[in-house]
Amino acid sequence: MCAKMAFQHQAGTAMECLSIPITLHKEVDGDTMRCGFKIGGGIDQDFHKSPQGYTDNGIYVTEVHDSSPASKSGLRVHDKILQCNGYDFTMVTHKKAVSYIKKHPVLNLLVARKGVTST
Amino acid sequence: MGNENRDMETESIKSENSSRSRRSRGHRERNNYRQHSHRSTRSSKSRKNDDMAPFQTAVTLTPDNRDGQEVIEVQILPQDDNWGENTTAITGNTSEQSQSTEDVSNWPGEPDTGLSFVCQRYMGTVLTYVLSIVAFLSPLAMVVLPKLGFFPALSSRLGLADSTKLLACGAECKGQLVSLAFKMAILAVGAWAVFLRKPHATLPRFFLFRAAVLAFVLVCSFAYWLFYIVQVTETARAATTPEETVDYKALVAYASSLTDTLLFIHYLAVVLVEIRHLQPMYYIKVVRSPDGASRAYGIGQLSIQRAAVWVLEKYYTEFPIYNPYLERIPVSKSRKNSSSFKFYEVDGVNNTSLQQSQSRAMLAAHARRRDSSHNERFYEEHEYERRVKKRRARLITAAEEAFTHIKRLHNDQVPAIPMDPHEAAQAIFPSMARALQKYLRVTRQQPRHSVESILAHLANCLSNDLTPKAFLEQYLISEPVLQNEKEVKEVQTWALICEELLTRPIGDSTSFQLRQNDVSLLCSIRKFPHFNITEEVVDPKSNKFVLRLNSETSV
Repeated sequence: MCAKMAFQHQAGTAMECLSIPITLHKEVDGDTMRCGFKIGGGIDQDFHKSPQGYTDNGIYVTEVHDSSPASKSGLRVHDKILQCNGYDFTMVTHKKAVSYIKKHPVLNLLVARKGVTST
Repeated sequence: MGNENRDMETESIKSENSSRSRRSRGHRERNNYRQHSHRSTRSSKSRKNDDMAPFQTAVTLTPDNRDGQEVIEVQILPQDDNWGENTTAITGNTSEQSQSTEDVSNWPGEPDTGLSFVCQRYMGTVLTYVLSIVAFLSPLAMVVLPKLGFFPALSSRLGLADSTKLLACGAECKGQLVSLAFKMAILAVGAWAVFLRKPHATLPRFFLFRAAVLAFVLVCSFAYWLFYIVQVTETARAATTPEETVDYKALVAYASSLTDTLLFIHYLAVVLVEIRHLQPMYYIKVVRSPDGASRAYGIGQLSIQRAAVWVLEKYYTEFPIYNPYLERIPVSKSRKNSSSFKFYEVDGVNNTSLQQSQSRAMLAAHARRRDSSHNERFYEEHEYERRVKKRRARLITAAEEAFTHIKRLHNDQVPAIPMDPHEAAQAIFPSMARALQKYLRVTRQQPRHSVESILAHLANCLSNDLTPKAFLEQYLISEPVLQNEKEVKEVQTWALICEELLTRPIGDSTSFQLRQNDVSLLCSIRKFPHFNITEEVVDPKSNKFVLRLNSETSV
């Protein structure tokens, strides 16, 4: 039941599931801070068109670069970010999600991982 | 000693004055005279330079044997305008103190004229003509001579009836005669088409391929004639019956085979001389020295001297005209009063150390000015280009306006007097003369175009219905070199300088230089790389596209 809820979540409805807490410390890259991963998705995107085959409008991690702060912190590809620094990521647009991530140098993420937090 | 001196002096005066008239006699005599006169003038000059100026009189005390008395001769030495820079005495001396006995006549004098040059220019052609005419006429001779009775041995042993039968010509023989005639016609036309041309270049070393082909022709005709004569006379002498002697049909067949051989030699000559160098194998870069104009071409397999001729052909038809007056960018009048480094001698003391420091200061100032001169150059060039463009625009406007004054007469009755093109040119020329003259002055072309040539060109353009821009093309565009009337000469002499032997074929990293007066062309050659063309097959299925949604963001 939780699997269905976490990865097929209708944005705006209430949901309860297990999640993995991840702390990510960004590294300095010139004059910007770099995390080293890519996100996709958002309530303004259409998940039917996603090449990775995601099943809802949440924010997903589509790529993690090697030896980046993201991989060191334990973030993996196809993780769904549920919360970041207290901001709810199940009902955000893509741009808003990017701006939340870029705001602070340390990210406290709650992610859901298929096969780990749910079967 | 004194006697000699006097004689040499008078001779020196005579030769100085008449040196101009003697120049036409040929370079050998002139050089000998010069050599002699230089030696004598040196001795007299050394006396002159002590304390004499021109138009001074020279007093020579010579014990003369004529009357047994001392004769004082006074001569007014005329001022020789040429003593300074103009006379270059050609001797083998390397310094003023030495004397040389080198034979100056061995040095190349004026190469353009003189009997030896004409000889050299046409000797190769004459030899070729003679040899090829001999070779061409041999089949004819071989066929005709027996009929004319040059070989009495052929018929001496036999009776009269048999000899006429031998020299008769049957059907097969007639067919061979006809084919011989046609082959000779083809050979004649082929030789005329390809070889009968005035040679357009005289090469310093002999032309290897042509000499080889000529030697081949010589050997071939010699061998054929040898066999012919030997065969005819010997078999005629040794024959006892009419069937054993050589009959006319065999002779005609022999002459026909000679014509075949000549045709094949002609083919060989065409391939070696004309076709082999057509396929480009090397890349040649030609750079002209005083102004840096350059072009690059593809050239085939040639010897170095033939490559030089090829380069010159391209030079005269593609390079821009070299304008020696454009070496220094013409500075406008307002900039001519540039300040120079001035220093003042405060004390006016002739102190060497002070002078040294002054010269050092001047050198430093010069160096500093040189460092900032690249800026000057940029601004000068910019100014110059602006002025040229301004004058060019005014010139085009003036020309267009001038051309509207003239209208072609189409057999209508108009009240004005009809004029021919020259008069029409003279009528409209004054309205654009000023603009044209200013433009030519800015681009330093006015030595190249005289008023008569401009008027003739204008008349030509009017009679051909050209537009003003077409008329102006000759002045606005200074390409190619042969457009310059002064370059259109009968003979152009260039000196070829190369490290390798001139008959060697060109190869990778060969370079040679052609020089004429102050223009020099440096040619450097590189080989074309071998082109490896591989085939690449593109799967038509890979020509599909997918729309990529930019839904991922990198953080």
